[in-house]
Amino acid sequence: MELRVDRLTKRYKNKIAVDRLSLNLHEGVHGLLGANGAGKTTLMRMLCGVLKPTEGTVSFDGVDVGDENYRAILGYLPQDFGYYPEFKGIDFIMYMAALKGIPQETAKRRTAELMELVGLKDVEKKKIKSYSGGMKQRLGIAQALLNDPKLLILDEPTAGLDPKERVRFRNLIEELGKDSVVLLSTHIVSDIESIADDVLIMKSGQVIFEGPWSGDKGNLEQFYMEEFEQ
Amino acid sequence: MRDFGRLYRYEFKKLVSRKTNAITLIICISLYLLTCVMGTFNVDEVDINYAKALDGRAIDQKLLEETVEAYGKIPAGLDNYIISDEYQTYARPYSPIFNYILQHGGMNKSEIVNWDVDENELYRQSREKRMALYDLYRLRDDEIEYWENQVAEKGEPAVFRYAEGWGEILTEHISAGFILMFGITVCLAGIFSEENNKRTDALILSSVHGRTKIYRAKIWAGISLAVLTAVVVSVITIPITLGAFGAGGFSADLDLLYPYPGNISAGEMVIIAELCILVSVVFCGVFAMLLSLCIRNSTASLGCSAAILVLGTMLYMPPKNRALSQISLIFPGTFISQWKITDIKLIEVFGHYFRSYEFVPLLYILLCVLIVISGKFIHEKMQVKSR
Repeated sequence: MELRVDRLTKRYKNKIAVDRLSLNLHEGVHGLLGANGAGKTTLMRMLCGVLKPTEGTVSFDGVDVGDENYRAILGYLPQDFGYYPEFKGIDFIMYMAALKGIPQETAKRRTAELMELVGLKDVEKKKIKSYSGGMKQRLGIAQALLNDPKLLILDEPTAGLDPKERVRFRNLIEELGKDSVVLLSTHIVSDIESIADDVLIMKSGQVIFEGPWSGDKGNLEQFYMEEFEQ
Repeated sequence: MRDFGRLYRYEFKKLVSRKTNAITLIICISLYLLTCVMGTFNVDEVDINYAKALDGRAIDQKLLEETVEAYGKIPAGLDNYIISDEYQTYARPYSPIFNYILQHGGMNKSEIVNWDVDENELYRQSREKRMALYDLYRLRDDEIEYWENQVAEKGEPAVFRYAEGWGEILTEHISAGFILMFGITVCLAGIFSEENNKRTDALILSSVHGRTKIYRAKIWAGISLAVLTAVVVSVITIPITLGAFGAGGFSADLDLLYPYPGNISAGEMVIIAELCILVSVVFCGVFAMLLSLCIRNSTASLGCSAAILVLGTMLYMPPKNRALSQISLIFPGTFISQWKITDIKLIEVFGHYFRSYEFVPLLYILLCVLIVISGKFIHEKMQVKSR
């Protein structure tokens, strides 16, 4: 299982958002750190096929990002995740299941499982507009997991979650990382510190650090700050 | 196929559950109903009974003489002769025939009253009026021959038929057709752009069916809404009008209601008009959906669609400028709101003549197909850009 990114570039008129970035990611949780404007979201959008790169390629086990089969194994939670206010929570997940090509019976079963998993079972029949920020975020996580993705891209997934929910989420991601490639971007260093198998630090569109992180290496946040000062 | 069915149902649900759309549809349907119901206020049982008494009579020398004699009993010089006893007693039963003479002949009211009745002269005047119209519209000789053959098929003398119900439907529905077109434009102008506004586009585009099936589902949901709205409105309003005015006269010559040389009945024209409105509403909806896809801003796409629609109603091309006048038919606002359904300029395609109500809907359907195909390619290439 391998996500291969080869010289990926996204150039705008006045800026290079992602600059000749190359990666090979295997099963596990990969944490992506970087300041605002470092290019994390742009990178993630290109990895999900919703933004066309200026140059470079993205493939998963040899399947190009533009292929429908790539999207079939992809789970994505965008940073600015939207919803339909008039839909009930369960309707939204079932709609996403239809979009992901999941058969109806399987979709019903998965929806029930995921709503239980993310703690929204009691409110699944309420309209999303009545959900709190944290509940909406959990709904977003649920839709990302619908198709048992082999590649899971999560952009700021813990934003809006309370500490208890964040711990629950970390445990879930850690479990998923055993069988999937998980790329998780966040500003909250502690989210990555405890679960990431390796850490990527982005700055000005380039990965300036890539490598495994473990407790004996010290404080990740301090290391992150030091890398940025260099 | 099942995935498509589910997506279609959800897309339709999204359309009708948007508050803006629900309110718009309620307002449009209510306005349409109100226009229709207000038309029934014109019902006058006395006039209807008089007209029904004349139903089936040939507008020949005998009937014309009866009419002129009846109107001759009204004292001359009255400002408002309609309230006079003589009108109410003698002339009113013949008012449909009097109006026919006014519409088709070349005489004014006082000339008719003093007319030395001649059936052949009336039909000669009618022909002269038609020739003047053909000249105004700059019809070619072959078009004039076409229409005169239609008139010849109908034969003379004309037969009076009471068809007020069908005439009322034509008047009210064509006038109100613009309301439907505008309403559907409002509802569908956000169908694609709302995904950008609501920030759900990234989720959709990153899913398996997010580039192909979802596009088809949205298009079909939009078309379904347009068709359903137009059909529901027709199904509700036609019985109301026919209930008030009566359903008789389906096969009455349309020329009895509105001067039209074509050999077509009032009922047939109602069916044609309803279909023309339906196709026009769908075309407006599909065009709004394309703008929504391209502009990706609900307000802007609504503004552009609505502006083009309103422009069509205001666009007046003088009939003598044939080319511009026919090109303007591409605007549904012109075709429906300006009564171009009964336009007498023919459209020639490879030696065959088509009336506007035959050609324009086909043109709209073809344009819809082209728009949908173009939109498919645009949607497949869509990206989520920086917000």
